[in-house]
Amino acid sequence: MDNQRFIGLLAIGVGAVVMLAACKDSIAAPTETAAPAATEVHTTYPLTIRDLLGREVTIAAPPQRIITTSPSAIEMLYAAGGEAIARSETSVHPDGVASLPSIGPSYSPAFENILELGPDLVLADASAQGHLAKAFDYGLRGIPVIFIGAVEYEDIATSISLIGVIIDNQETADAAGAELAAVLEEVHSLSKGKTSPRVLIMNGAISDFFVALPDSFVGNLVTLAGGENVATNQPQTGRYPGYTQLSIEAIVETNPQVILTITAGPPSGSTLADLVLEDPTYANLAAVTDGRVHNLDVEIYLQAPGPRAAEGLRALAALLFGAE
Amino acid sequence: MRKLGVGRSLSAPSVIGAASLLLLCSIALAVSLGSARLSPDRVFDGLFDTGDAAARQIVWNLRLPRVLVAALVGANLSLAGVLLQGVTRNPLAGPHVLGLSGGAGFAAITVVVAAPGTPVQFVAPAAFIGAIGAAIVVYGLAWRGGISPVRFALAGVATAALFIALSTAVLASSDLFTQSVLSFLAGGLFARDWDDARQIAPYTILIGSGAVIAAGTLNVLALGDDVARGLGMRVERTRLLLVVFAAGLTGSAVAVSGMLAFVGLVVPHAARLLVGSDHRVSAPLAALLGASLIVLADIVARLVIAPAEIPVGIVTAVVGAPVFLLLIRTRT
Repeated sequence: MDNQRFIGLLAIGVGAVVMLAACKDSIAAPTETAAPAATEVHTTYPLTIRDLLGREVTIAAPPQRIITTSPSAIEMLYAAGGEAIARSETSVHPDGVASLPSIGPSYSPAFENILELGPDLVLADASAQGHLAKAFDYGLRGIPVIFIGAVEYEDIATSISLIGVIIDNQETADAAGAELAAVLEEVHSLSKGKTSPRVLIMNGAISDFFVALPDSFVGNLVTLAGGENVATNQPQTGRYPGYTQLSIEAIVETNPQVILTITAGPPSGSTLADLVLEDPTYANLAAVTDGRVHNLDVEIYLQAPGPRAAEGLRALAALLFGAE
Repeated sequence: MRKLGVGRSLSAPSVIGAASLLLLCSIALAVSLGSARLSPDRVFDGLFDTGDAAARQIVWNLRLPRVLVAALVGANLSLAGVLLQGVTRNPLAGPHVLGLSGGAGFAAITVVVAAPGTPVQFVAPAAFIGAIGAAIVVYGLAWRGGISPVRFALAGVATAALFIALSTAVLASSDLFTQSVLSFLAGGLFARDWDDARQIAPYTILIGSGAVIAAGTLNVLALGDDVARGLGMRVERTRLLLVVFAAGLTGSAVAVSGMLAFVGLVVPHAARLLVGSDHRVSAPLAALLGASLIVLADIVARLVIAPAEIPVGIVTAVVGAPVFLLLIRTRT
């Protein structure tokens, strides 16, 4: 009797293994045949994917209820053709998202509120929220969290394409990526053969500012637009990655031809560019005497690195090399 | 026990009982309230039933550990305050004022900045060592063949300023985010989990009960060093042991919540006001009141601008400063 039962169990076991193997083949097969066809690429679920922090995340089914926790994340999601059911406090782009429920600020998202909304995917920000990855995984246990984001222009297309795969909307995502690449081409052709102007990028307030290095997001855009960053060989100092602190003497010594500013504080006050133009300390700089001191949009260049960087890149090229 | 207390104070068991009830009610309230509005039966489900996954996660994994951490931090800092005020015979002493918080914070933040990703269970011992280090510095500065309470307090103020400046310097040179830095310097409980609760609990249980048991020696110290020696106490050794207890309590609290000011200073006064100067009663009472205070303050911190939150240390400072002034006026 015991033997019979044992053989029975064995048969069930062998059968299960064979069935599993068969299933595995049938899952693997379509992706291989689908690739060469290339007309309409679809995602197969469950999907295991590596996000921008290198975490492996599995998504069981096409996400229907997506929550984004940063302005970058929501703009990238919409660029990939997706929609969110909730946003972080400061997310107001693209049009219409400002009326979505808020789950709190990016620096301390309210995990309670996210859980209550019952999302099947959370898109977090790899650069602004990477240090919270452990808190996200703990607080949102059981919900897939994907970290996307951009420290460089090309990361935007990478992130959008990743979202496109996740929400099974690869065509829209690829089109958005192609648009970003086209703008980069256009900007390159504008600066081609011309001398790069020396650019200083200031971020903050007139008495307390940081200077953007080429490896900050805005610094990367300025380099791509054809500017030569005067802080190129400076070490990173202070608490912001990609930024340094330069003394006023050092700035005067580099004598920038163009000064670009990002203003801290409420948008109603004077911009940092206005203050630099009024400040006698900077009066003799080439950028000031030539009137080439410009204030940049704080969202596009600092707070929400995302698809709007394409228009940001175009605007920079126009500032550096003159429109058309 | 009552004969040691001040005449007008209330009976010890009834006050301790009332404070325990206050703590239980505070914890129940804190677990029920949050930026997500859960009905009472969903809160109940979250605690006792795993069927409602969202409620379970919110109540059991987000609120409960955070509330427990708040209670343990409040108990530790208040007990440390009782010990330090007793040891220095100075009503202005406290873990923050005497530099223990600063030393703990400096050690904790140096570990976090120098070795990012250090598991939480190593941060509390580092903070403990930092607090002991600060205590040794204060002790050394104050020592002249014995410890004068006044010199101890003055050395503490200077050391506190030094360590807070050093912590700020380490934080400013790190690439930590401004919000995390603010939360650490002011004291915050955002995203505290069971790991944090497990990290601080042993300190509260072991050193905290040690402190409550040893609180009677503070009554002897309060009589003055000469009388204490006359009664057979080894004054310097006792004082050192109590300061090490205070360092352990402070270090573990700072490791999980940052540098919360005012709690360790104010709560011991409130406890003495209620039950008089017998430390055997005022020490456990201070622990219960301190725990309730941080649990209640954290409710405010979570709700006042929900779904955003403010560091709990800002709430305790805003509540603590006026309460402290009120205490000073009513006591004199």
